[in-house]
Amino acid sequence: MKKSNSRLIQFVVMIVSLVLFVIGAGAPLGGGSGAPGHGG
Amino acid sequence: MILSLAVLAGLAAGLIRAWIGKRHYRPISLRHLWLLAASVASQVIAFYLPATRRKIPDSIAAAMLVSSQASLAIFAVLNLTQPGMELAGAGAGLNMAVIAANGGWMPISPETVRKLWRDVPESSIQSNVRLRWTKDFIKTEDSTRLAFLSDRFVISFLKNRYALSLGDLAIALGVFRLLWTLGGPKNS
Repeated sequence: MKKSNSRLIQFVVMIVSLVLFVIGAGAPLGGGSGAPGHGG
Repeated sequence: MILSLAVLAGLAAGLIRAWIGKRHYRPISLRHLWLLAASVASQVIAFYLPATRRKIPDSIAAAMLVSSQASLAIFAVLNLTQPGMELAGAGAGLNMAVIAANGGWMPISPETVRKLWRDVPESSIQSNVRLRWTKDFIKTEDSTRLAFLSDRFVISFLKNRYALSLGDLAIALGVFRLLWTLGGPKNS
């Protein structure tokens, strides 16, 4: 596999992992005009 | 999605930093991703998927939340070599502590709920109830353990309001710092 491809995969995995981490570890609550929801 | 914005903002800041410094952005490999995947999967089942969350009793959902929060704090500890993970891990630990101390739910006071939904009649906001399918449980400040760690900081963003905890803020700052650092010099 090309080095640039593996770097891109590493980048995507890192970003997805961090998004999942903040959604899982965080506990914000979203309000406003709608129904109560996760603030993710 | 308010905490996901920390990822977006950190990434943008890190990429700009790398571009200004004429450097490559250096993505990292986080370790023990299975722990992250298992923790998030259990939360998706208990809180996000309508088909599964309504079948799970509150007591089981609370236990799943505490165990997944603990796993995520451990995940952060196992990745402490990465910049910012100490802050993100501390945030996960603070959220776990307040959730575990309050029966497996993130406490939120009726006053904070009123700030989030200003058009909802005051009489309809009750204490000692779970807030629909969320991780939050409405409790008065007096009956909340570690109340200073609860969802109490209300911010407005794009016409919506959000209540965040001290742990949430630490998680956001930690993730931002990590992504910012990856755009800097190698030894930073």
